[in-house]
Amino acid sequence: MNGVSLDGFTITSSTQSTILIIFLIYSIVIIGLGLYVKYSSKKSDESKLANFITGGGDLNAYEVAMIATTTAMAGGTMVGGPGLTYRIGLIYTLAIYTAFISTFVTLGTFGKKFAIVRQRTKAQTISQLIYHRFQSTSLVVVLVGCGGLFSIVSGAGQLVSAAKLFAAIMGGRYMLGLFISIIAVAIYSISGGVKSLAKVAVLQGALMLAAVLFIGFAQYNDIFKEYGSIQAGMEMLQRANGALLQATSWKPLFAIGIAVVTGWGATGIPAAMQSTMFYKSPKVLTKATILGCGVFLIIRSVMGLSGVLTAIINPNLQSADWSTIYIASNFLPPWMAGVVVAGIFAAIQSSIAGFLIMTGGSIAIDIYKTCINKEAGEDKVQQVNLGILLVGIAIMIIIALRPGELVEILILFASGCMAASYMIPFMLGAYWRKATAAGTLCAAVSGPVIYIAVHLLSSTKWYSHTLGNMHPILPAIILPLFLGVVVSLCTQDKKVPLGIYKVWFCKDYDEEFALMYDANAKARRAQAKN
Amino acid sequence: MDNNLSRNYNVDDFKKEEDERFIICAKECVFTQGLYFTCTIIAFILAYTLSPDDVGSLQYIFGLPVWFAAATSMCALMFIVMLVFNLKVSKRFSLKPRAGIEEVDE
Repeated sequence: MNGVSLDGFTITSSTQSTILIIFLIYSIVIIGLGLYVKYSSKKSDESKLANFITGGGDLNAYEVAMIATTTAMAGGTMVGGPGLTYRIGLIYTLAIYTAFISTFVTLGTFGKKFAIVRQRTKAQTISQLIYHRFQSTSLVVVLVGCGGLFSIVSGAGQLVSAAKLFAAIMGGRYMLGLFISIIAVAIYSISGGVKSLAKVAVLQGALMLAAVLFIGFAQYNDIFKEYGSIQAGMEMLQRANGALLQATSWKPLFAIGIAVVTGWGATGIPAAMQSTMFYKSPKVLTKATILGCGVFLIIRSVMGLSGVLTAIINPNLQSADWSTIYIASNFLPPWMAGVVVAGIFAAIQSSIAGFLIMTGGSIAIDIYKTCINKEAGEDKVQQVNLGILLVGIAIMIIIALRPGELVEILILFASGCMAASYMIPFMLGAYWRKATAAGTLCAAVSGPVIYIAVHLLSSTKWYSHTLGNMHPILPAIILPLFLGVVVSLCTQDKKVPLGIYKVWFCKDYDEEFALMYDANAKARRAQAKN
Repeated sequence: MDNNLSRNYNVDDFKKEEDERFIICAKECVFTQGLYFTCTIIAFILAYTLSPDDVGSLQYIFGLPVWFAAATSMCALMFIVMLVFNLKVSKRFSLKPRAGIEEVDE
């Protein structure tokens, strides 16, 4: 075998076999470790599902930081992001850079408040928190539905990233790449749970960091060898494809919107917000925030610029999403290329697992157990959770069967929809004392609807002329916020019962109202008695 | 009927009963969101103000186009502010369900 030849580059057979051997070793270690953590924590008295989705709520700072980082950082950062910067240039790099702070935005916005209220209410998921705050099943169904749907779309984007990575290694055979990715992701997602995810995330985070540093080293080394300095390389690119070095590749309101989706949007995805459920101590919170941002800063600094540096080294890649694998397989020793592939796959795998665990857990607990079958036992809920994981994987596969040219576009679309549906309702619920269920529901529904409608409109000439290509996320934040406030103010007679309000805002509260209490049921009983 | 079941209350009447920790959480939320949006918007204003229309007149600093280096310096500023805020400014208090503002968990 003479290796694989792709449009724009080749991978030698020795590099190909070394990459596959290292990936196999990585997979065996990760799955083994996940199963070990799972079975060793089986003796715990705590509910199996609670353990599965919150990790017992008492992880250490390094675990919280790594799980937040590895969940947020995935195919987008490692494959799709460099692909998009290869095509668009430095303006997208800037958007990626501003997003390094997403761990701080999530934990700084909700970290302390949710940790206190979670312990008051004994909630296991963020959807249970929002249910408690507004006592509204419709709101939870909308949020869990949007979160689940768009998590799966985003997960499909991650799966496409993984498939493209392996397709490059396997000679451009996308279906074979997809098959390998599905097997590895499915076994990992179903076998573990958050406790496994947390322990494994520590190893995965280290691997990703190594992968990123190797990529950075390879690129800088080659550019220095070839051109003598980064500036000389940039000047060459300025002559060959100057648009990549100008801010004007995108219009300002579109670029800011992309930055908001990449950064602020990443803080609003359910899997990232779930990280507020993993700790009990303020010390852990502070350390996790700093550690998460630090790791993210290093990774984004290297990977954000990676696509543009690849364009200097080789402007002829047919598929922009091959930027990272091209650098790894052609400019690093084979074992380092293997570590890079394992690191990229770790990022993708942990994100998909995070999405699936969150989606499965939320639907099983918040919709099935809360709305459909209140008498369901622990094992039944666990079965439903597993069923949802399998359905989620099946839908991801269906979407991944027809990949687009740039995977990052799909991931950004899904992140935008999730952010549009989640962030405003959660911020209103957590901090605005006058927020009502009707107002918040209005914000939750209108966010993704406006996002999708404006996304569809944005391809028209009228939109481009009148709104300057404004990114859909901007109206999808501002209008739902406005609607949420107006509708809440108009429905002040439908506030939650005072007992619930006190749990969320006051020092003293009634324990009975704190424990996921259905105040409507008690009110009905009281009325019937009277 | 139990007063806690009432929906007919004015939230402003309970201001004095508010958990001080939640008031700090709200202030920190505003700071976090403000820092993110301010730095991001300034970064893009710098980018579009300094990026020349003519690609031939691009200037470089530290090997990068000037507009890009200036815009990314906002990210560095954001990181430093985040660090100082977390280590020096952010109030550390117990996250237990019932605790005073001065109580700190180990």
